[in-house]
Amino acid sequence: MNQQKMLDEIAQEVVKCSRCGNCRSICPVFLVENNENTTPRSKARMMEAVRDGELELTPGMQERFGKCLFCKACKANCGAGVATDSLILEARAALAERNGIPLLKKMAFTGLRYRKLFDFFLRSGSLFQGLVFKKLPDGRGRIARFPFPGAGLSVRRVIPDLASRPLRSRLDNVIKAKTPASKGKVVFFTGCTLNYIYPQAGEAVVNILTNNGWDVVIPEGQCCCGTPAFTSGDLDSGRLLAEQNIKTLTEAGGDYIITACGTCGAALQHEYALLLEGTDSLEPWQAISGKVLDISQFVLQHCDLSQLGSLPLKVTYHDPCHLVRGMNVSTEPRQIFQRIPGMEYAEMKDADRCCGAGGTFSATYYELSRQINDKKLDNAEATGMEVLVTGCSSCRMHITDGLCQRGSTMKVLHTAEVIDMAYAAGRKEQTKC
Amino acid sequence: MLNSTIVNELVAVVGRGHVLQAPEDLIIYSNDATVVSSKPEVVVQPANRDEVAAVVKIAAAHQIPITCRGAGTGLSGGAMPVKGGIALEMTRLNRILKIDVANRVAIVEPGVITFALTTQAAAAGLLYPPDPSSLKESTIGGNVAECAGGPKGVKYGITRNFVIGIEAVLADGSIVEMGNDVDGDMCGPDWTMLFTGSEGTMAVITRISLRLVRPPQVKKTMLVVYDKLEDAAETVSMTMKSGIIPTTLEIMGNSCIVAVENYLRIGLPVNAGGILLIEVDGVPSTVEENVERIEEICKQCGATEVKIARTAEEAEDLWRARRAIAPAFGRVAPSKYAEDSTIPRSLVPELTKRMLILEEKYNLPILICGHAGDGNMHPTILFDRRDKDQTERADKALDELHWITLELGGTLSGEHGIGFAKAPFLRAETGAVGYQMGRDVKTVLDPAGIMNPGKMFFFEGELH
Amino acid sequence: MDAVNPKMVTSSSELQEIFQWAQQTKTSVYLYRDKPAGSNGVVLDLGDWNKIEQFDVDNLMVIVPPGLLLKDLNNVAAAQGLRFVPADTPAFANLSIGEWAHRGCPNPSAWKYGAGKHFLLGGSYVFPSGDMTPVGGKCIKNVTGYDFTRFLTGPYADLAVGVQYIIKLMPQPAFRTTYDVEVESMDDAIKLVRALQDRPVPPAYLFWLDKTVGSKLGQEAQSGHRILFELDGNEAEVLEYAQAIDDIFAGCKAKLATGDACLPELASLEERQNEFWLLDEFKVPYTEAAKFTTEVERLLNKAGCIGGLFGQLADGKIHLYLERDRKDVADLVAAIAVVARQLGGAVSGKYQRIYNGGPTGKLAELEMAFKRRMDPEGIFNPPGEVSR
Repeated sequence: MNQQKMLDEIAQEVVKCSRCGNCRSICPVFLVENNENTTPRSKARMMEAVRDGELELTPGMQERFGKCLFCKACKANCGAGVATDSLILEARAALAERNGIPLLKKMAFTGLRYRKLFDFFLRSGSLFQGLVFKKLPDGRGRIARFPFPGAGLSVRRVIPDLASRPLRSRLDNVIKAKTPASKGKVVFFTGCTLNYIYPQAGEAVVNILTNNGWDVVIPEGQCCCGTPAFTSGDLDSGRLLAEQNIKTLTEAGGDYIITACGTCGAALQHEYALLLEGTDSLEPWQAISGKVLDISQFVLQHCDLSQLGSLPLKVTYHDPCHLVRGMNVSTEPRQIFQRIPGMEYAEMKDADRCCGAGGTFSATYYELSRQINDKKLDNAEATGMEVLVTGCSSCRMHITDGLCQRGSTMKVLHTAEVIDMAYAAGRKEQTKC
Repeated sequence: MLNSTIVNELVAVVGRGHVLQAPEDLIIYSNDATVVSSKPEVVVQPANRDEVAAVVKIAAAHQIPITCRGAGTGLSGGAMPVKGGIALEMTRLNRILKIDVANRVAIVEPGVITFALTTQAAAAGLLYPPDPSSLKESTIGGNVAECAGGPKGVKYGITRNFVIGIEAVLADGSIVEMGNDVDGDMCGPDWTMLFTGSEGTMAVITRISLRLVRPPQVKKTMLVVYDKLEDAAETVSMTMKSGIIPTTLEIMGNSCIVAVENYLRIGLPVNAGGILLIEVDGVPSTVEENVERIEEICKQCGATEVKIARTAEEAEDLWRARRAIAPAFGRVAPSKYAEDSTIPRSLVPELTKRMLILEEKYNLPILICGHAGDGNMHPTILFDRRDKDQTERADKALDELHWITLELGGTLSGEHGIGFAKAPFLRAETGAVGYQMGRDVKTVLDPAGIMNPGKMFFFEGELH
Repeated sequence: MDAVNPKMVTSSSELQEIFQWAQQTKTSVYLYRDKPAGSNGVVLDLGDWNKIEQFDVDNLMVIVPPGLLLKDLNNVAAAQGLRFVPADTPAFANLSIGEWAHRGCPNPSAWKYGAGKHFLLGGSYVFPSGDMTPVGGKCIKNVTGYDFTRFLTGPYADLAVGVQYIIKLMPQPAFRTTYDVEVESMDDAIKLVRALQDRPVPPAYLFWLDKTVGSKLGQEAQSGHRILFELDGNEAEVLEYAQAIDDIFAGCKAKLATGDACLPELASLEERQNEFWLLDEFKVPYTEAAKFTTEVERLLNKAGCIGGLFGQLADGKIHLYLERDRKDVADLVAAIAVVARQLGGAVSGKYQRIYNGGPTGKLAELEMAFKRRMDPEGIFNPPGEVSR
């Protein structure tokens, strides 16, 4: 996408901004920083100035655009309907083209493109992680032995273990339905964090699908959805990853494409539009984007909820940004929880406010992301519930870090894990009768 | 103007991290919620009153203009640094210092967000009524400087009805206190009232004492539909005359209804001449009685439909249309002049008629809504500022709108303030003597003219 | 000009001419106060300037000249089912609008209806320079320019003379009932105030007189503290309120007083000779009023002075009575001011301004600077020994 075209599109969005400042009351970054120059309004204002030739696309401006979680709360609440998310994405791309992106990130994104290498690196990472990170006694994660400020690792940050065996190494590419007849075939797009760090959530997804009568395909050719790359402005890497995924998913066929991460799902459903505009992959993508469903959507639409068994958990739910505002999924998990017997559910305040992870944001702005997360955890703990459930493994990672640091006993589970446990309980109850 | 020595002096007061000079910062702090922009030379973010005083002293010593800023959501250009200088962002002074429940007084720093005060007051069982629609973002300091209003103004009053004490840093850096924390009435000229609504041109407000009231026990909401806007306006008059002062009386004209329906698609009556959103609050017996009487009055005045909310959810539903006005306007055209022409209540139909004529004359949508209860209307001119011709017509329509307001015996601003935007018309309303008096009192308080220069009585453009 | 008889003024142009002449001849002009003995200044009287200019019933607004009496204004309003809230009690009924404004727009019903000054929508002022300007306007909401409507009307500020007042009227309440009770102690009085404060809606007004003041102003000697208050609103609401009042009275051992339940007339108290009455000086939150009265009693006893306190107890407006000539009260007033401040209250500065040489402080300096612009020769109500 050429820069001028991007800037023109930005200009179209920017003119809608009436400067009302309503975004100040919902931007999680602003609510912590209390500074006009961290607001969504300021980003529209800067782009207006670029349009008018008053500002250049400087590294300084790039930094300001980097200080955004891409949580889409501003866009959802903008009275004038300014698509701040597109605006920020395009601005970051334009700025990246002008100024490049930080070397470490560039290396990481390039690395992502080399799927097998990336996979090997992370898997060997699990072997050697003990050298750099020491394990916490309660088994919930590790902390860095020394600070890596560039990679967002302060010594207090708790990061999860890299799984000794990633999900896609544990499971076959094709898993048959556990019922006598199969209702059809679905494709599972796992996403990186779930694959390498929380494979148990992926196993839960597969269990739900197969036990409900669906054959599951986990194509080997899938790679990172590309969001970390293209939200940092590296549209090229993002495009390559998108094209690889589209090729893989098209080949895999299936009735639906299941995601268990709001970011991956939103990328496959919508965000790829920006990357693929004017390319040959646009049409193939449009042919499959309609098949994408979050696991909770799939369960609600295609699974038998009456089979959910009793699960006496006390649960609250955090809406991952890209699930609630990227994929419009937020009532589905709650509706499912309502159908699980024995489960107690309490809504937390600002359940749909960003947890502060923001993908690479928490690496670059760890302390800020921690403060944003603290507010989320205050709200979660205020519910008095024991388990925090969420549908995104990045949120899970960041929330777990926060809970560890404050010595909370609250546990974190993926929505799929809760649903899987309830189905398992249901099956057990049936065999007893 | 500003040089590195002065910047260093500022840094010594507030710290390096709170003196901003990057080109991006200057652009970001060049405007409020109006379309005009003007860059400051530096942004300074003091943490407390003493830092404010020290900054003002530096500015005074070097004759550097100071433009205060809260959330920058003002609608008259008050926070726009017309003459460069220092943009003084007051949002770090954001503590609610005290809520005295027994005596119903709140003492706050200017950077407190109004909604934060309303929420804390509510937690203490009290109500801070002024509710400008920006209340989730705007600050008390900004509200006081502009004397903000809001829908509750009809029954409870506006910001100045609640200010009883102010502490401020004057243009020479000295600190003064005015009013008191009991009833706000002091002997001598009413300084608290002069400073309320002074739009940053007198001093930097660093602490405000506010009256709080008991919240009403119950509240009832009703939506009333009319074939003719005049009937809606007549209802407003008859209601007041019958002895009922509703909490809220919001009016929407036909074009406004259509715009909102296009946006929300909830089945609003798009052929109606007008809609009234009415709220009454108070003691249950009075509210019941008043709702009945208002319903009768509505029907007497020709209402075609009266919907009374029975639950809080239903009430929220009735408010949806009113709350959707701003975003709905945004869908009609990207740019707007949202004015707050205020006229005596009985002239609401007349003002509306004149707006329709204006609409035709300049071929631009001019949507009418407003706080009918106190005549504070919000005619909004919609256009696209990328189109030069449209912008020219919008500017002309705006000028004529102000003339019409004055002709009808109204006032230029019911709640947004004069600032930069309406300053060209100020003398037309105050008269020459009144205008000079405004200049005189400001000169007495700020001889060097560093406090928000170029606004109100010191506007440097052409005066009408 | 006759030194003894005041000059009647009935129009703005007349007033402007007088001021212009006064500037030229450096003659003092007095309004709303007596001139000092020995001065050759002029005393003005606006009492004949009392024809209502415009009564806009539809918009609940009336435009009046300064000489109209509050009670007359209220009668005109009442005929249309409306009222001017600050004039709706006998307390200031005999004051003219101009004088009422000059004194700071006192409003006995401030507790429920807000400060009297907020009933002004605008008006016109003539400056001691002879210039004239409108301020504010006819609209209920008005933030155009500075709030000169209230700034110039500041009590005893003497910046300008109000020649036209645009006043906000309210509807007459559907129903009202007045109470006149006596309680034994200050603590009981506070209990009553607190109980009323806890009700969903405050009384329209509440007025308190201690034993000394009540006995002085009333027909008969008062044995305790007297409290007068009025409930107004829709009939059902008031009757419901009235039912709760009986319980409240039991809680503070209140006894219904005999005689008419209405506020005493306060307008001319401060003119009395050989007595010192000071209204609107002390502001003390009602929660501290008991301590305040105890301390003041102690000070009075120590000074061997008879005196008392009274006022709008619930809003914190406490007035003072001293059985002494005004020339001998400075020390006592100062000591009482200290007490008020110590208890978290304030003083309005009235005593300092009128009796003790004029206001001091930074704001006073600014006031004087502004005043010099509007009154170059300093001819209007110049400070000095004023005897009434």
